[in-house]
Amino acid sequence: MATSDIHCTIDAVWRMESAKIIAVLARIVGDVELAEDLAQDALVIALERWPEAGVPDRPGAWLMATAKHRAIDRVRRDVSLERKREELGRELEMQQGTNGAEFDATLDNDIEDDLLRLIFTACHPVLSTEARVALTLRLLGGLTTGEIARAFLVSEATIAQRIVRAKRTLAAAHVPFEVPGEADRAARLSSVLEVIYLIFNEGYAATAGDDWVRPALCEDALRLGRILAELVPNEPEAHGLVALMEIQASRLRARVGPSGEPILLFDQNRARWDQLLIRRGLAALARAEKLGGACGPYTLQAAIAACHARARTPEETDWARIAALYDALAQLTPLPRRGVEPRGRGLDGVWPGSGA
Amino acid sequence: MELNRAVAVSMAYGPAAGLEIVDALASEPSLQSYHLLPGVRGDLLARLGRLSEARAEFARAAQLTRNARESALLIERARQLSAAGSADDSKG
Repeated sequence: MATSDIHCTIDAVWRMESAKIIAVLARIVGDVELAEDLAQDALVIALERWPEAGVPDRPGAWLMATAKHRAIDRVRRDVSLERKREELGRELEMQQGTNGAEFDATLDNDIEDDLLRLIFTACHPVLSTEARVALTLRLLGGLTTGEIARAFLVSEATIAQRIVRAKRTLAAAHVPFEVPGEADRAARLSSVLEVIYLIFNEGYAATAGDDWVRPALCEDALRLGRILAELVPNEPEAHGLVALMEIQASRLRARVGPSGEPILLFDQNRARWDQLLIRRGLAALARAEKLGGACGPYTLQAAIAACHARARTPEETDWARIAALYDALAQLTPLPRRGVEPRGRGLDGVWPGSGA
Repeated sequence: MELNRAVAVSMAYGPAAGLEIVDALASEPSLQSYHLLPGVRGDLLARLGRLSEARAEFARAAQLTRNARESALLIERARQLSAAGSADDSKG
């Protein structure tokens, strides 16, 4: 395999696996910044070795193992992490085994929990919304600083600084690497959902720049949303958000004309709507409603999107139902924010088509 | 949300009903620089036949948006209304 092909492979593996690796390392070392550094070390080792030795059979597992070994070495070596070492020691004792294989097995079982911890940490309320978005795309989306900068039309240095500051803020505030307890779970989950939807919206109707849509950001948000919904399968709003994003994304192809101009809902060629995404969206919506989430904000918005998705022509749209759903949504929205559109919700929505 | 509700109401119950909601929103300070408000208002006015008011709203919306594509679309709508408006004028 040519070196450039290997680099493409590494990129792809990294995009898929980096969140899990950083999540597991963050739990081992108790610090998101150090976790990301160690994960990057493993990536660099892969970039050095794979072109010569070839790509391993299970590249994701290889990266994870390499990164974990570095993390464990680091914990063992680093005197300042004495406390953490004791915790690890206790954990190992509790497992009644101190050999490496059992240690690894313990860690593997917890990958999903670690991923959830990482999502909640990256979207922690101690951070500004901008910082949450950047950190989430970086740590969970596997995007490079440059990719995030291009997506949000700011300089790479700005994003790099935003991410560094965010990680320092988490450390300074001693934000524990954990899934929030029952008391603030709802508020913390809503912060996570908000961050994912902001990312989606910036892709779906860019607030600035020359392109109206940036489908890659939509895909990143959808990917994060689907992962989240699997991690918290009993949270109706997680499914509601996925439903909303799937159905909106189904229209991406139809929303932009041949020279990049926006095409509004009424003028879209509905044959170009992605039926697979619509089916997935309707299924997620049904799941959210079955879980008792019919009145959550994302599920309500998904129900509105579903009304459009089900109408074969604009005239067939059930506008009375849509108006009723918006009424329900208006009841929910806390008063200070009533009437304020979420940033980035562009011309789509239900803005009627241009001209007759 | 309220803005989308206004559009849905206008589709279900006519543009005048939608315009009432939009006009109530227009006094909201946080929405003063929000480009979709004049965009939607322009659309409802156009459907009510109040074309020159509609044109002004589209022009305002085009100035408020930071997205080049969106701005072009709104300018195009204002332009179409100018053509329609002058046709109306010539009919007297």
